[in-house]
Amino acid sequence: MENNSERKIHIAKHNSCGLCCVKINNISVKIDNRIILDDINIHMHCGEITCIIGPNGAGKSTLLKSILGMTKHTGSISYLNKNDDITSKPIIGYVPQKISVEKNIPISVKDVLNIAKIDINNNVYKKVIDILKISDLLNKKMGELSGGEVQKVLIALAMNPFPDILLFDEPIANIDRIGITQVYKIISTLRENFDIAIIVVSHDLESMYNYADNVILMDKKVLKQGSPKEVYDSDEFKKVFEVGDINV
Amino acid sequence: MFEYEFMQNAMILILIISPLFGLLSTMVLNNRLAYFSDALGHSAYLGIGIGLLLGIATNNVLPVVIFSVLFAVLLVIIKRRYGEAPDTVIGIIASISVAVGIIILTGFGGLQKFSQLLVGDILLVAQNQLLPLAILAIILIIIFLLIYKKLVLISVDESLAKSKNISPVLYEIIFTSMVAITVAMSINIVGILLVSALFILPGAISKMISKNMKQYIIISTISCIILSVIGLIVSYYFSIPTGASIVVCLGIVYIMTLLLVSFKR
Repeated sequence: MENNSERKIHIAKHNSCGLCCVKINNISVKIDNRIILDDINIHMHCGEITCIIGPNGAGKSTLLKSILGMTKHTGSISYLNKNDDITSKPIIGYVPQKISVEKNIPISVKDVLNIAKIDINNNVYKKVIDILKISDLLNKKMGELSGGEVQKVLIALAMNPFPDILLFDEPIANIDRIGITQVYKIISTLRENFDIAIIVVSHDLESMYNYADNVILMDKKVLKQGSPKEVYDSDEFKKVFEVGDINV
Repeated sequence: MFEYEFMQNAMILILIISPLFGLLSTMVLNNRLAYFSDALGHSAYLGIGIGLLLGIATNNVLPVVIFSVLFAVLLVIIKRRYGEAPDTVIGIIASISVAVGIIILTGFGGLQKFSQLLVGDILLVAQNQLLPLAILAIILIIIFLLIYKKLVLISVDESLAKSKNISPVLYEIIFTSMVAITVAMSINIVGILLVSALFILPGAISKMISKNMKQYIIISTISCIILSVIGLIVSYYFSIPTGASIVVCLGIVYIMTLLLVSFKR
């Protein structure tokens, strides 16, 4: 576990208030009498990275869609901000896996940021753009960006309106190895600087071990949740990923 | 040539519809709806047929407008239902509507009589329709300017748009209805066969040389207006159908731009 020290540094840098709380209560989804999600309960705080892992078909995407309100579900999502105001509709920033922009379409990064009404002169967004390091990309066309650059722009788009929860759907699916580290570093930095609860759905078990505060192992229902070490060492984890002795 | 009333009418109509093609074609390409606009163009046949059954003159655009919008909504719903591969269903529905349209038109005195609808005929442009069409065009342009940013976001990622409370289905219905209305407005002068080309060429020309959204939309619109006017003038001197003449003008500029851009690289 040589990365454990790196992990501790990330947590120590924690700057957010930690008081805001997201509660996902009893989310269930049934499609044609097939149970896709069974009574999912997740609690998390701002400044935490919660990672959702599980085998293919475990319902991870369905859970994301339920949180986004795109899929019919039972149960509720509540959000308690630092002033103790409870809302059932927290602002959610969604970062998709990839974009479907055709390569030659003349939409620049600046265009897309404008459309998302991100004011690059506003202090908060100045900071976001600084963290994302996208100021050099502003005049590039969206279709010409690398996978990692696209992901950074998508993160910027998810930051307006300023989110309570930031949702990442497989953030590294289309990125090379160097880009992957950059994206996870950005996610960590965002967590350190803003009061946002971050949810990441990912297949990248190794990086999740290093960057997540909480891991939720699911297969239609929550099998195990806790710190990365607790989950990765559990029997449930070994059973799902069919490993005798996981080496991360 | 503008001493003739039919040429004045044709010129006014060209100035009304060409900015629409220029604007809409950017988002037709952006949101990959080229195939869709083709199906809409063909479906107009049935719209004209239905208009005839109801006893409305062929150059009255109202029945075609209404039918095309209904058809556009139907196509969007089907496209959404069939997910990734809607082209089979859209193709089938478009050909059925052409077939039924042909049958109805044949019943009204033979196809030859309506062949002008295929390629357009500037003599069909009625002066009393120009004002309503101009108003309609202004409304469409305003709607376009209000919604195009949302369409761009939808083209980037639909879930992203949904997460910002933008409904992709709603905007797709609005946009395809606008395409449908533009088709109906321009059939008399451009013809059913070529109308979809006007939704592709201006955007395709602009796409090659613009660096951002603003340039893309402005170049597409201006080049469409200029080339449509040139197309009309050329069609007058060579006595050829105006639609074909405009498409050839746009096509020549497209090829020239393509060559220029390739040489530059």
